[in-house]
Amino acid sequence: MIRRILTDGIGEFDLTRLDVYRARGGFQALHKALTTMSPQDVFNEVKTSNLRGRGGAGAGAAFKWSTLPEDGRPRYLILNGDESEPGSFSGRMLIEKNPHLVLEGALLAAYACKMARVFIYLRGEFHEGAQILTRAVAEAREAGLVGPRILGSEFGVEVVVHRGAGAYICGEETAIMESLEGKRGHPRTRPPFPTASGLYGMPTVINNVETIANVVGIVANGGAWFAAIGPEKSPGTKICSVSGRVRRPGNYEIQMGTPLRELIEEHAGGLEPGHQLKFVLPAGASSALVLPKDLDTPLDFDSMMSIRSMLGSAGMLVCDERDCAVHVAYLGSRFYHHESCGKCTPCREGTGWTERVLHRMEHGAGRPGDTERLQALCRGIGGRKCLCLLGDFSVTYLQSALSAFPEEFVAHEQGGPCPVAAAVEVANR
Amino acid sequence: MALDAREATDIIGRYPSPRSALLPLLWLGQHRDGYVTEDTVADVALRLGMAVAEVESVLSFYSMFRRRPPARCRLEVCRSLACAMKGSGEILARVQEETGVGPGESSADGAFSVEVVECIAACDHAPAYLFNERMAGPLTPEKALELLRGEGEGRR
Amino acid sequence: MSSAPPAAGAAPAAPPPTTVNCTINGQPCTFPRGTLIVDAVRQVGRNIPFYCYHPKLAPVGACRVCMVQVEGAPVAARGPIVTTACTTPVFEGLKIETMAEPAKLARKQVLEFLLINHPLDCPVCDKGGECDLQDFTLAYGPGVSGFAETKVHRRKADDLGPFLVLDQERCIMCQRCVRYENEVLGEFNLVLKQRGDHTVIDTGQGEPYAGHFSGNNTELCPVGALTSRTYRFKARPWDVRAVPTVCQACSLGCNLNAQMRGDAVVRLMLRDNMALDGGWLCDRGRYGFGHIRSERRLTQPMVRRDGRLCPVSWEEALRVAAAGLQKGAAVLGGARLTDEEALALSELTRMALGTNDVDWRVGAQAFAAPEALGLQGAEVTSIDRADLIVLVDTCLAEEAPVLDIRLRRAARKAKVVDLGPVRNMPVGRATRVVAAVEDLPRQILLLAPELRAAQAPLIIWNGRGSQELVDAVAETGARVLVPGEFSNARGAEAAGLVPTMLPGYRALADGHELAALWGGTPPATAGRSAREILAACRDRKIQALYLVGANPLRTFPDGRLAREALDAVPFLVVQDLFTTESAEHADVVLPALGPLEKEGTVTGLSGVRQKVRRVTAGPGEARADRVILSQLAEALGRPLRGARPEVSDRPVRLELPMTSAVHAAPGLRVVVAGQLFAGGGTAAFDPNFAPVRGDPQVRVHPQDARGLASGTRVHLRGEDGVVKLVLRLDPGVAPGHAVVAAHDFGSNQLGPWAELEAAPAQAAAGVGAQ
Ligand SMILES: Cc1cc2nc3c(=O)[nH]c(=O)nc-3n(C[C@H](O)[C@H](O)[C@H](O)COP(=O)(O)O)c2cc1C
Ligand code: SF4
Ligand code: FES
Repeated sequence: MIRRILTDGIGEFDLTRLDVYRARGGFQALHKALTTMSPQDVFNEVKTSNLRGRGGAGAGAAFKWSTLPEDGRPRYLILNGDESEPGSFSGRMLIEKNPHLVLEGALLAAYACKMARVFIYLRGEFHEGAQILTRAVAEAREAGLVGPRILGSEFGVEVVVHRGAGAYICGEETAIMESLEGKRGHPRTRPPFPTASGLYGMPTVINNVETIANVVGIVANGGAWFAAIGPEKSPGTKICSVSGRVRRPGNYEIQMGTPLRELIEEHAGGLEPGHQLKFVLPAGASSALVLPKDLDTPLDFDSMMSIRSMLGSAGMLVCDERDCAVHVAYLGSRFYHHESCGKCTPCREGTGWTERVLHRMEHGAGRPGDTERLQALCRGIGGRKCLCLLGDFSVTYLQSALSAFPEEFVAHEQGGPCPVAAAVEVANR
Repeated sequence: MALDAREATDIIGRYPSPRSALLPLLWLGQHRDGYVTEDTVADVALRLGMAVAEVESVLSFYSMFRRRPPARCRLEVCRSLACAMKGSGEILARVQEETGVGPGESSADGAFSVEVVECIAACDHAPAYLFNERMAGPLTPEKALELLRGEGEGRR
Repeated sequence: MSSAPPAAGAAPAAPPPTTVNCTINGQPCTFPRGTLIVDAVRQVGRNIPFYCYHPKLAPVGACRVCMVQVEGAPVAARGPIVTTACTTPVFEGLKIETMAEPAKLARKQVLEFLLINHPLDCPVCDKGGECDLQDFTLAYGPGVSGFAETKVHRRKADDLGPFLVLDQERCIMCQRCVRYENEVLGEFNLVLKQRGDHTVIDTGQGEPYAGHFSGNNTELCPVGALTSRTYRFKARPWDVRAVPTVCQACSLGCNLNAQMRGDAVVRLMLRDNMALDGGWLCDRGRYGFGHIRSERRLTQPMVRRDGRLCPVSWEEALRVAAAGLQKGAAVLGGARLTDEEALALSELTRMALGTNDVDWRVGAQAFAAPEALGLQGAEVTSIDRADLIVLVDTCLAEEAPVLDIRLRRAARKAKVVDLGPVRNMPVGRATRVVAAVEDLPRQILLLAPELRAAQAPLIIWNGRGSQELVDAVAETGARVLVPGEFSNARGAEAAGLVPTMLPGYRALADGHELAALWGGTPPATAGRSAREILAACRDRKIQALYLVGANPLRTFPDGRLAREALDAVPFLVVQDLFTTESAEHADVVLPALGPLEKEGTVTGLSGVRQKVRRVTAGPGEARADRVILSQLAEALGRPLRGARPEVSDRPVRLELPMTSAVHAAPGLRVVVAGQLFAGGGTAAFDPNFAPVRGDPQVRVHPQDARGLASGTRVHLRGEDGVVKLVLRLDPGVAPGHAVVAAHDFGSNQLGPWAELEAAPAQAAAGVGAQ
């Protein structure tokens, strides 16, 4: 089974060094593309590969690229390295440990889409990642891999590493463009969609860092090779970030379609000794929880949808019997309240309201009716009433927790101490 | 103090529109002075042809820009899901108990400060933290106190 | 990309139809393509609530309250969805349901969210009774709120400068104000700060609001977050009635509604005239009603006795005035009267005083209608259509402020050249050509080829200048717009309040044409211009001077001549609203009514005549100028006929008054520039403007500052006098120039050249101690 495509060599070699990366076959794909393939050929391989976006929604990469209008205006590529979803940290590994792969993928995508400039938007907290990536770009530029006339060809591209400054919303595709334009990160109304009118009003493609990193293998080995890995409709591998109550938290690249159970029990070493799985948040704080009964679900976009959750960016937060569903909801609501950009009313006001209710419940000041109130809040905020999906994200876990663990919410309504914590205490005695 | 003109021009030159250099220039100022000074705001506004008010507006949206001189040792502890589950709240409480400095506060002598931040994409090292901008984890109460005393570095 | 799916319009299909058909609540309707659902719904008379949407601003889709249910491709191809009406255009076949349950529910939820952090202080809120939040909550909101948490607390009743009060707790984040600042003004006097539910509206660094158009925010704000200080706790919407009228603070004539409580004006509000004011007011127009109650208003006729002005009856005052004027009088003023009053003054001068010694030009403006000089006039909307606009020594933002909003919009696509000694548009918005006043004709000629080559060239010029400048402008073939220094200069000019022309741009020689109307033929010899009249007064060649709404001591460019003239003239009658500097010299004072206190018409800068309404009675015994003029004419034994002559079919060209040649002298060349709140009309006497007027300033280029810093007190020493001012260093001023505010008292008392000196130490210490 092919497992490690993107993470191959990480941990064994210092891939941040251009010579090391090249010695392991790095930039062969770029060389191949520039010497033997037209942009259309590269595009076709990506199309054949059926690569789907790793940033969350699983949109077809080639489809997104194909919506670029052919009108001669400059086009831009933005690599989304904002990675702020609680529980996701796979992009950070790619950026810090395999920066040249990300860069090579970006160059290939720019070649396919005939773009002259690539922006790599990193969240502000990636101080180190930004340094590593900037150094990698400089090194590549020295070697004639970035800038005009790459590898002696007619193709040239500029790469700009751009840092955010602390705002989850800037991972949203239109907010990222606003932020890159030097503005507040407020999402824009759609249409127009970014491929029609994006950064500076120009056609723009926004892809996740991991999506783009996959393009290297696709060009090197062909789209058909990639399409044959894993399930037909979600081919390839996915780097899953596993955190929480497992023995070995970390990033694990798995073939799409690998069961969730295998990821948790084998790769991540299973639950901490003596504890039982209670639920998993498979796509960070914004996904509906997965109960133990669904642990055999294959990890791919469609299978995860079929259990009413999602693969998203595969930031897997594993919770055990010590984790009260209300507590986790409170932590999530605090996050979304802090990160709402403040533009839309339901999200701006609703996330704060939700946090305040959960805060009370969490601190022994629950009141009768709180559960119902939370349900009403979920309905008021969710349902695509907002400009971007942050509003919906903020209630997805809560809604699923309310239906999976109603008794925990009801117990907190009474205003007493947390029953889950009490049970843990008894067990520890 | 104005920003280094060569560096600023270089940054602005990377972008099709000067205004895109806003965040990078603010970072430049914050790196030099430890925080974004009024001078930096004025200088950036001038260089990018923006109103000072516009710069202030954008600046205040992003949580990482500081407007006051920072403490010498800055501990930023993640409070998001994985880290909170692994006890970052308890560590903060313990730090407050021992030093009297709670989240969002600085020690009276300005030697150190304690902040909370949302998920910093280091959940595998939960409870994760940034010490003087360096990402590390897991944090323990002892480690936190040691860092705040200025002994030792954030290490992964 | 060739593998792209065939786009809908990929084939060379027929151009898409310009209208689309859809249904609203089942009713079929047709709209132009691109119409937003929110506008479509309103056009068919249905209501939906909205906060962030405003027809004068671009949609943002922020408040999410304008939810409607739609069904149909491409937005809702797979069944009905709820969406925002303000960001979705109508599509062919779209079914819109405004009252569908899901839409109603969504609106209710949004309203509930909006209320959670909003204070429940409607009874003490100035917006109470006209608040969209109040109204929509009643119509669409939840009955009771389930919110039982503590509200977020923010700054309340914050004074943002002299006019605006901000209550951050009441703000619902519709962003109308910050979008208006940015989209309409291109300014950032208000911005968003922080994020999420901590977001607030604020000025950039907590400084006072700095722009000239703050008041519009109070009408854009759908709730009571931004309100007017002058209106605070003054009235309730249901106690006031609105009287439509026209602003007379400058020559533009923006339309407004005066809101009255009893006989008191409580506020002035927009009455959109898109072709004229574009739906905006400036703060001088909006807040300039405080003069009605100014302490310096004249309320009684007065006559000088034993050196003192003593109150007398109207009969007495008119009798004394008539007796004095009969000895041979000249007349100055009239450019602040209505059209009808200006005509009455013209008739009185010609027929009762028997002279052509009359001139409205008591300031620096030399003409009002470009047509009067053989130039081609323009409309206000010419600005929108122009591709090249040259500003000649003109600062619209100060002189006809609302026109500047139009210019800013035009400047996004048209080229704007800012020509003159002072920068009048911000850096980057216009091409700056520095030119001394004397150099303007040459500079215009240099621009002439470009102007002639333009599709729709426009010159905006303050109307100051010489025949040479007129000839240069004529050379360009451009249309001309003149925002002058007096509100009804065009009306005065048309009424013949000039020494060389009779009403209707009629030659003096054609006076017989007026015989039937006026019952006699006016004198045919040319009269004296304002400068000549003042010189004659100084030289005691004129026995009496009649000032009608004119204060040459403040406005006449040669202040020394004005001072000497008023000191020397044996008999002075002043008819005005205020105890002006000139009124203090008067032998007879006749108190007149002001702009909001009388009926008539006024002629704006583009020649459009508009009706003004009497909205309030005015103070004391003051009378309308028209009444005073006809009573004075009677006292003079020659009652007015008061007819309006037709415009002459053989109009003559206006003769420009002589300007004295300026010889080079040491020091800085003194130039005056318009300044919004300094103006010599009602603004100078309006207590509402006391906080913004500030100390009189002189602006010089930093290289002329002689080491003095901005903000220091300085003396400007000219040949004719010394004036104390506050120094401002301004790189927008041409080197070698000292810019003082037009109509600011003292600015005309220097002479053409002056030296800058530090004020004596004592005065400086006084500043430091403040
Ligand atoms: C609130 C919000 C936050 C998001 N954050 C991220 C992020 O941090 N990283 C990311 O790649 N995509 C993020 N997305 C998804 C992006 O909008 C976008 O769909 C994605 O970057 C597209 O890349 P892909 O097609 O390669 O998956 C976010 C979306 C929303 C609504
Ligand atoms: S849903 Fe929330 S984060 Fe997204 S645009 Fe609206 S307010 Fe901002
Ligand atoms: S009016 Fe449509 S979202 Fe505010």
